Amino acid sequence: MSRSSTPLLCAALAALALFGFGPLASVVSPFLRDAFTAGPSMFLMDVYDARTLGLLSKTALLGLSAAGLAVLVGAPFGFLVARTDVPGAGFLRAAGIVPLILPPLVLAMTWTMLVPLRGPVMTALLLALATFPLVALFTARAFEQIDARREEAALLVGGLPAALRMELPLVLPSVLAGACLAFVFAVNDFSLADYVSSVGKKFGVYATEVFTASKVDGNQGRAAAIAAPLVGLSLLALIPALTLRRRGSAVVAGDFQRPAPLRLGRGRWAAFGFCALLVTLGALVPIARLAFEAGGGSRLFGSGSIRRAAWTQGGGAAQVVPPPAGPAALGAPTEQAIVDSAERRAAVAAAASAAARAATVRQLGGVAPAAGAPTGAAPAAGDSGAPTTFPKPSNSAAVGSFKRDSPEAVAAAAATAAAEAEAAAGKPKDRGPLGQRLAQFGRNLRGSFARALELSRGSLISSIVFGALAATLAVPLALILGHAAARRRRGRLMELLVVIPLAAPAILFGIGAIALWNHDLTARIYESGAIVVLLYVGRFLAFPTLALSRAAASVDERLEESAALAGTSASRRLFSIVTPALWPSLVGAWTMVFVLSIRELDAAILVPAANDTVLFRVFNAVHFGRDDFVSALCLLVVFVLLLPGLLWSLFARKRMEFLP
Amino acid sequence: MAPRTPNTLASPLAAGAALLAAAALAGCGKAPDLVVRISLDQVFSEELVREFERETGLVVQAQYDIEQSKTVGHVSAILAEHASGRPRTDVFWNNEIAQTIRLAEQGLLAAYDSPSAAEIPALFRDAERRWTGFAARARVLIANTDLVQPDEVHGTLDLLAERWAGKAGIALPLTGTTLTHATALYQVMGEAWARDFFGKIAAANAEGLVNLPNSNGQSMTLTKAGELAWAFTDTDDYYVAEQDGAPVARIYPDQVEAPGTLMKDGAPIGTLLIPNTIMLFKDAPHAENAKRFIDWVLRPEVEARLAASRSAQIPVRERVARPAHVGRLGDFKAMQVDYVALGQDIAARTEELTKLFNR
Repeated sequence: MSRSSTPLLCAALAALALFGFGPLASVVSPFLRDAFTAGPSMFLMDVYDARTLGLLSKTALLGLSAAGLAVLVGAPFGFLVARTDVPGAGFLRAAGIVPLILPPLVLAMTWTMLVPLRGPVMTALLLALATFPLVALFTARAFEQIDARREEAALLVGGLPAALRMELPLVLPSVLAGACLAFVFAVNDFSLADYVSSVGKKFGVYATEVFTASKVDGNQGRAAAIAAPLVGLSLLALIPALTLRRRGSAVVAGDFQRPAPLRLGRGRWAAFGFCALLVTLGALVPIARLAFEAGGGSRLFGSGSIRRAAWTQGGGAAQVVPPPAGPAALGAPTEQAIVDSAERRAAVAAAASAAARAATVRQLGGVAPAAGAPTGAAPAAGDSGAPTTFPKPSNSAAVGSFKRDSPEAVAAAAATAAAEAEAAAGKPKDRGPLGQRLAQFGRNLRGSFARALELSRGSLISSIVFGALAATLAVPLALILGHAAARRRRGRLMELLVVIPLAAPAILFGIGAIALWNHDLTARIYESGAIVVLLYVGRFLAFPTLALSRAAASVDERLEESAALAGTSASRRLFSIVTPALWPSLVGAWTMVFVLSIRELDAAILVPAANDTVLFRVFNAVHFGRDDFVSALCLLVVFVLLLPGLLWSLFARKRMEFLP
Repeated sequence: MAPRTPNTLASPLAAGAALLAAAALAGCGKAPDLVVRISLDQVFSEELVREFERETGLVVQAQYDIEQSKTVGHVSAILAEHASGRPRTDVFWNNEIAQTIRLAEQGLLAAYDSPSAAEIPALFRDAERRWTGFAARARVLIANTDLVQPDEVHGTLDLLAERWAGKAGIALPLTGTTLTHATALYQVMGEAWARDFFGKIAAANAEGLVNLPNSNGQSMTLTKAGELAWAFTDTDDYYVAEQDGAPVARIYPDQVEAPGTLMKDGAPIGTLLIPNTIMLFKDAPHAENAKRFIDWVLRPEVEARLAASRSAQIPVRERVARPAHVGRLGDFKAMQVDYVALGQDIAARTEELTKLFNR
């Protein structure tokens, strides 16, 4: 038996304990204290009632529905792109991962604009769309690990049906492992359910309860108690996932023969249609929608909101609503309560136009493009009654350009501001010929990206640096832990330990990190970006550990045993013999932590240094409905998330391995 | 002797990781001269913080929030910092008042009578000077004028009117100013009325008759896009929609006697006014710098800037200049609330409303 180095392992376990369990211990201890003080039964009766238990069962049902749907589409997708001659399999396989990388809220924002469906059904459908890649990836890997000779024998006996009958029991554990992970993902997400039920009947989930509880009167003991059932539910799915993934990831023998693609005949185009549809729904439509909004498409071509079209069908609300019995009819004054918005919109349009002109003047080196420009001063009413000129125009694009001297940004801001001014003046209804609108769309798109880069470059860099540091710190730890999990007798226990921080609600993990690191001794960590990096490492260490554990298990143990007999130290064996064989998995593990770190918001949001991350900016910008800017920023985030995978596929010959 | 292996990746891998880890652990950048938490939206407050830095040369570590967690996220973090025995936050610039009262009640705030606040009306200042209010927002209705005429909607009770079934909304009253608004209704209208009202809202939502967006920002976005005819929101969210050129109108709710108006003792209750509040913490690590920041923020010029910004906050000082559309406090009837009692009540109401709405 080849053992990993004990000192190294102890150090890695200590890091796991500190970064992963430290924050959890900080929030669990008040829970235990409160339970002890109040008496366990009284405390539990106070925390758990019929409503919370009902929420829990509803959430479990949602998770099961989403996971079931994910299996329904993900398993065939994984099989088709991995093992058949479906056209464009390589592209479809890579593009099929994108829905998993996109923040779920982006899917929700896109599809609620396009489809009027709401409530639990829509939530389950969107969660399935976000998680089917998990099932597909596990399925694809399992199908690829079936030896060609075994498959050929089955094909000879009974053709494709016989081959599938033989293979299905072999891949089923992997499919179920993917489904379990999809379930965990679905039950812990509340932003999607919350967003989808913004219109119509509210659909509450247990994660919302945890989120709310963690913010009421700072009672972390109660919040931890409320979170406990969700942690339990997640672990209930993670434990079988760990077992199933071991069963599903057979060690590939040295004489393994990779199976040839199965020929689908005329069915290959139907298969292509199915795969392309999934990729379109989960990746292309959301990205296209973001691009549409980044180019100001809503103003130029209409919002494309099916819901609104349905809502206003037959002449709009004015026809549906009975004639007004307004205040005027009752003899009540209206002027004070209702301000003339058309008048104000005209003032706003003038200010926006002035901002655009000012930006253009700056670009031209101080030469005004035309006479008669508005002053840009907002109307004011001071004591003297004289107008007050405010230092900045209200237009956001111009504000951005005034602050920075990039000519591209200035020009782009001017173009966007002009478009905004036109829109504000009510011109979108007379949008002009298609060619002009497309040209304007192109200008808006460039302007949005320039603004997104100008206004959020620092945040983007912060996110990349934090993500890269977290990944670089996590991978060596994960290598040591993963290797030990693969080689040591209690490897499964180690795998279970490592997933526990992941099962905890993100916001509690964030509060725990504050309690853990905010001390005099660790002040430098708490007040710097280091806390963000350590928080990411602690929370996401499970993924690279499991991925590298699986990869390490596939390395022939005899190599390490031979080196051990020759006197090579355990650490040298790990880094010199095992590591070179794991490059695709190491890069995959690094990429996974990098991607998850950039996507993280709920845990990091509470710690000071995470304030300037790009996802933080995206969420704040979403709130203010700055469609062009925020959509361009979302696209930049998606690009950053995809970048490691793109670079690997361009320069490496092997496929990146990142599955647990 | 151990054989030399052909590919020794240990050294570069470990060295690289150690280097990066060391860089991470060492932290980067100068230590801050001041730590401020701000729940006024980042797009409005960030530029002011930078300007303060430029004017004073102080380095400010500003922590903003996101729409989903709002003020309560900051309060959780502040309480967690205090629980760990090492308060880090010097100043909290809160965009509402209820959570401020909670912090004051817990004894976390220091008294500071800022000279910049001399002209601020007593209504917006704590008697013990633990907090100071300024630049207020009002709860308003945003109406999509393509779908509804502004004089068709009058107030709170319109939410339950049959004619607006499925077309109107109010943000889920579990966070932010909607939670404050709900708590204010408990205070002004009485517990029995408020329980009945919110019970009806929850029941109407279960039938799809009233919409409950997840934030005021989303209420605005949905109304702007025409998915809702009208909704409750805050004035700052309303102006964002208006300045984007959306066909929207602002309606101060519960101002005149009309079918949808909420009345109390024969008079409309008026609209809730929510001032920003700023406070200094006891044991603030940088107390002197914190006072400079509070003085700077409470200057009339900053209140004027907030009025002129996209958030269009209403100055509480009469003499502060403002764009015409921002209006004055006397332009509408304000709801008469006891802010201190409201702050004391909000935690209990959060729990009650969570039980009612998260089902």
